[in-house]
Amino acid sequence: MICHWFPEPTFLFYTPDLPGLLFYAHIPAMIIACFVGFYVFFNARYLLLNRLLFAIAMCFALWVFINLLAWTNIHSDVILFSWTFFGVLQALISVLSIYFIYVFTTQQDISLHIKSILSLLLLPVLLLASTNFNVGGFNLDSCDAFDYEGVLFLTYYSFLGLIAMIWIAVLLYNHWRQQTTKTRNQTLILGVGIELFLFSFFGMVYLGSMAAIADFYDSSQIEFYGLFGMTFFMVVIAVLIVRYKTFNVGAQAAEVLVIGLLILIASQYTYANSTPTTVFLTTLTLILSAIAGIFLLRSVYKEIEQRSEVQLLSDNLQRANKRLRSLDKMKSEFVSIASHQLRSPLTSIRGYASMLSEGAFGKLPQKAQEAINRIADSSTTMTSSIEDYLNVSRIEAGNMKYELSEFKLAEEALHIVDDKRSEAIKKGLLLLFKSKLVSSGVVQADLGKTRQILHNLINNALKYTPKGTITVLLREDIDTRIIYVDITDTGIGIKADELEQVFGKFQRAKNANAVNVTGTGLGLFVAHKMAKQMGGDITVTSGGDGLGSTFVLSLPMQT
Amino acid sequence: MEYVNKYFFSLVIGTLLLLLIASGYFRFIVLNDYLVTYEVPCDSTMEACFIGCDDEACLDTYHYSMIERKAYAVRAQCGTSILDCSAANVCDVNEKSCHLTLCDPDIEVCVTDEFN
Repeated sequence: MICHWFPEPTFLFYTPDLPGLLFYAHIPAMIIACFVGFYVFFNARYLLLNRLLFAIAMCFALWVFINLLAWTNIHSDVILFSWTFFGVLQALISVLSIYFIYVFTTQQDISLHIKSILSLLLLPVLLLASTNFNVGGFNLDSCDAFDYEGVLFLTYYSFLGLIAMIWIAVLLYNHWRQQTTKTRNQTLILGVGIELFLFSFFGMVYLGSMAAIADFYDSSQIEFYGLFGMTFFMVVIAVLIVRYKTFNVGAQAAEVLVIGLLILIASQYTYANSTPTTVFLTTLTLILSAIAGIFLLRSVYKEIEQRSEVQLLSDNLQRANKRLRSLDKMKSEFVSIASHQLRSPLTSIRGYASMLSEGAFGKLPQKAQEAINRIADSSTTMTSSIEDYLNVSRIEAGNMKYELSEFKLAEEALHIVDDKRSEAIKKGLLLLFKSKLVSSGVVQADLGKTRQILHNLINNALKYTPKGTITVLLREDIDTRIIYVDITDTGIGIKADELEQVFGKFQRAKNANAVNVTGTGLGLFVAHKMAKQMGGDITVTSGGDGLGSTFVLSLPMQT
Repeated sequence: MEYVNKYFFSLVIGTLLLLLIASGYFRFIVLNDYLVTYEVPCDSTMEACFIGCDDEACLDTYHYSMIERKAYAVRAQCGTSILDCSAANVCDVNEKSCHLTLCDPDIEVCVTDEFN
């Protein structure tokens, strides 16, 4: 049956008597929904989130299409067949929106249990849509079916929109609470977008339908305004794409924004009462916006290219870094194995050199005695170096063992100073020991490692001090419960720009070689790592080149 | 189970949607199984009629009553348009679901003077 009072539309939809707002509200909303939906879908269709957004956009676009059809078509059977799907599509949009937010917040598919609940909510709409509960008749004079629309059915599927809004708000709020400040904005923007869309779409459509059912036909046009909610939602989606890469769509999403803008401007043509002036101005705006859009897109493409290059460099750097770490580990393992292999023969060399030196094989001539002493000294230095390499290997492999115990630090420091005093005297140096401790000075640390550290620091002071004094001072800070050992020398000092490097692996001050050429540059690295592992630290200060230096070992007091 | 969970929603909703499209098409397009309502000429000397306006200022009026019939019945008599089809204006003898609504003076303004 046809509505004989109304003209057949031209171009499928166009009827000059209908308000321009009808076309302005419907056509851009439909095009933008289709465009964003397809764009997101075809850029990453493997993502469930994208497929769901596509489904929501398509349901909406289809709703708008049949709504436009219902407004402009004059065939009652076509309009009624279309009318069947208003409720179905709205109910589907509600349920898909909930599904979409679930996937957005959890990044995974929902359980069968939730799917069953959502299906149950949809079931009444799907089963009753083609019955009189939805629509059962048609008014040929007004060319609509409002007189026969089931209020209960209409209220049910509109109520689904309300349920979706509440459900989504709860889901997003819970998700928002678990997020960090940086990622919260994404949730907030999506939340505002989808809630406003559902509110405007469901709210206005329900009010419009109820107004028409109550014979307030002029008020029924309120539903047109509800469609702008989708445009807003799609703009929100575009923002999420561009700013947060939410849908794994490339940064070329700027295209979406530009094309969306052009669609909005072009939709001004849908005003039926456009004058030549407005048509001219709209065309001008459209052309200028298109030109600006082209420039914008070109600059975005350039930026994308640069970003890709930076990303490529970063990836290469990461790979190189990983490879370097692997090589470093292999090197440490090699050093460890090699050092173990060297240590055994060295022990023999030292042992036999010592026996020869002490006359175990008879008295040696003077020159032979000197040669043996050199062998003994060199093998001692070499043993010390090997010990350093082994310690570095253990530290880097995380195999260094620490056995914490309580002992008096002052006593240990004094023993080492006493041991080293003869060496200091040989070099013409004054080695002093001072203590300002008030407490018993008991620390909690590994005794062997602490001795090794003190030995290393005092040894360094002796090596790099040509003349003057070396002072070992013990002091404490009762408040922080830390005991300090200051080893101050009047030696070659360290330049300010080298201070930070002295604790690095294989690092030596530049002026160190002038005084001592045998150092490996590992002693301070090992000592520093050990002190740190025991809850202490080693720091260094120096007045500069030739002005001496002070190394401070700090260890925690007993608990 | 994973397979069921993955395709459950699409299968259930898709199947029901296809059924709905089929049933809707069959009911509205093929069978024309729905009611249509429209104005029919009314003789104010015989019955209470509604008053309709031919212009916005309602200077030209006409009298009508409303008829409600099954679309397939009207279509069988008049084709797709009821314009110039007098058979559409009355209920057939024994026609079910045909209902003529006259103006109720207790509720609305009617033209009743002529026959009272």
